Amino acid sequence: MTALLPSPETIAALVKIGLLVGGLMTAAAYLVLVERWIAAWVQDRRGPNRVGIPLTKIRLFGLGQPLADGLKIIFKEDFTPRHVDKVLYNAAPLALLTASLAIFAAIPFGSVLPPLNIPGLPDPVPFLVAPGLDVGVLWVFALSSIAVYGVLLGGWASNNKYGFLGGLRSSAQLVAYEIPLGLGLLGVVLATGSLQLDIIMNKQAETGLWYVFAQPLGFVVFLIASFAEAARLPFDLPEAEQELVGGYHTEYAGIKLLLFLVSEFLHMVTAAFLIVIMFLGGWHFWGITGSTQEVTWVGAFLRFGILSAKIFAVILFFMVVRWSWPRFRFDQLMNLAWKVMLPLGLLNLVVVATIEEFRPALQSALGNSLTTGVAVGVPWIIFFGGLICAGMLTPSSTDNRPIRTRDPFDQERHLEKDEPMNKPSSELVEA
Amino acid sequence: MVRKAAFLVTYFVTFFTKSLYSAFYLVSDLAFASLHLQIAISKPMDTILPVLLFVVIAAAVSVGLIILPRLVAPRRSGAVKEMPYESGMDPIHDTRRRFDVRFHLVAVTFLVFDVELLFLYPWAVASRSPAGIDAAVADGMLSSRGLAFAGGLIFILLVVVGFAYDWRKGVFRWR
Repeated sequence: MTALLPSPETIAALVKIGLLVGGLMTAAAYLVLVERWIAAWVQDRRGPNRVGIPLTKIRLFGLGQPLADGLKIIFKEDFTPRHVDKVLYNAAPLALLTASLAIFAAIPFGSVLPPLNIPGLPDPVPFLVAPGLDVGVLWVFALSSIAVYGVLLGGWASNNKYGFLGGLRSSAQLVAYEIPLGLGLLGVVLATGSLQLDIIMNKQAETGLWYVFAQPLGFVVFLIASFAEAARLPFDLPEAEQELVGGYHTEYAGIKLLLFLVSEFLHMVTAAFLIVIMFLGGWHFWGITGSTQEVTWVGAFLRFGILSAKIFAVILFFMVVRWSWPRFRFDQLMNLAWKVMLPLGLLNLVVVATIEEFRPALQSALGNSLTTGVAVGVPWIIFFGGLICAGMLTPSSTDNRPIRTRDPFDQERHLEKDEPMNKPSSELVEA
Repeated sequence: MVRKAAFLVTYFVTFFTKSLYSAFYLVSDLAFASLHLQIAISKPMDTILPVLLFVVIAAAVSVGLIILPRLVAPRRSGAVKEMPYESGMDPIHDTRRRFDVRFHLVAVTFLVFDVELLFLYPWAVASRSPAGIDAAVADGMLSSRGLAFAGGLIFILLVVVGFAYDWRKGVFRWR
C-alpha cells in the first residue's frame, strides 16, 4: 500500500512546484501593475488607482487591477485568424509559457529550512524544486533558449508581415545575446566549480565576497545580455510598437496574447533571479543572515526575504531603465552584441580562469588577505580597461546606409544619388 | 600583404595548437568521466523526477489557460476579421518569401560560438571541482594542472581566431 503513495520527497517537490507556479503567476500579474505605477510616476501622471473591491467604493490603490485585467482577458474571444498555421500558432505560446515556468525547477528561491524530522525526507529541505540537479545552470540556459522557438514560431505562424519581421529580429537578437549571457555565466561557474545555483550562492555566502565584486566585467556583460534576453527596453526591438505594431504577437489576441506577455514578464523575473543568485550573493547579506547551512526558522525566512528584496530591487531597476533609455537601432544592437559584449565576455573568462588557476600559488606566496586583494583588484583594473578600450574602439556614429553594389542585377542601384535613373546597365558595370 | 600574413599566422596557430587541442579534449574527457561517475552514484531518478513533474505541471497550466476562454468567451468571426492585420492595408502577398540572408549568417555564427561555449562548460566545472582536474592529476591520468589550463586557453584562442576572421569578413556588419 505504501508503494502506491508518493514518497515524502515527491510530495515536498509538488508543494514547492505549487508555491512557485502560483507565486510566479501572481507576481507576473502584480509586476504589470508595478510597472504601470512606475510608468505613471516617471511620466508624472496618476496611473491605475481605481480598481479595488468590486461593488464597494474601496479603491485599495488599484490593487484589484490585475484581477480585473485577467478576468477581462479570459472573457475575450479566443480568436484564430484563417491565414495562420494553426498548429504552430497554438504551439508557440504554449511552448513559451511552459519553458519559462519550467526554468524554475533549477532556480533556488531561498536557502534551506531548519530540520523538520519527517521520516523519508532528507534534512535540511532546500528552497529548490530539484535539489542536486548537477546541470542546474545548463537547464536554465537550455530552457531560456526555447524562448527563441516561441518567438520565431509565433512570428512565422502568424503569416503577417509585422509578425514575421518581429519574429526574425527577435530571434536574431535572442541568439546574438545568448553568447555574452553564457560567457558571463562561465566566469561564475569557473570560480565556483559547480553548475548548481544553490552551491553558487553558498560559495558566495561562505567567502562573503559576492561575484559582482570579484567579476565586475562578467556582471556587466551578464546584466546587459539579460536585458536583451528579456527583451526589455533598450533592447525591445522584437516588439517595437512604433515600427512593428506588436512584433511577433501582432496576430495574437485574448488569452494567447496574455500567455506571451506573462512569459515575457517571467523572463524578466528569471533574469532578476539569475543576476541576484549568481552575482549579488543570493540570500546572503553581511552580518544579518549568517553563512552556513544551519538556520533557525527566523533565519530561513529572513534569507528568503533578503533574496526576494534583492530580486525586487533588480526588477525595479529593469523597470526604471525602461522609461529612461531610448531603443537601440538594429545595427547598433548587433554591433554591441558581437563587437563589444563577446570580446568583453571572453576577456572576463580569461581573467577569471587565470586568477583561479594561480590562486593556490598566490596564497602560498602572499598569504590569504593579499591574495583576495589581488583577486579583486586585477578584475577591476581589467574592467575599467576593457570598458575604456571598448568605448574607444566603438565609433560614436555608425554608417548604416545600405551597401550599394555595382551588380547589374542589383535592383537597388537606381537609388544612388549621382546616377541617372535610365542609365544602361553596361555602363554601370564598367564604372 | 596583411591578409596573407594574417592567413599564415592563423594557419600556423591552428597547426601547432592541434596537438595541444587534442590534449585538451583528453583532459575534458577525463574530467567529465570522473564527474560522471559521481552523478551515476547519486540517485538520478530522485533528482530528475521533480524536474519532470514541474514540466508537466507547467504544460498543464498553460494548456488549461488556453482552454479556459474556449468555455466562457464568445466566438464570432467574419471575412474581414480573419484578414491579416497590416495597419488597414490589404495584404499584398504571402509573408513567407525570401528574407535577408544576414539573419542566416547570425544563426550560423551563433551556432558556432554557442557550441564552442558548451565545450568550455566541462572545463570550467572541472577546473575547481574536487572530482575534476585535481582528481585526474591525483589519479595520474593527467601529468599536471598546467596542461589543462593551457589547453583551455588555447581553445579560447582558437575561438578568438575564428571570431577575428568573422569580423574581418564583415559577418557582424549590419547594413
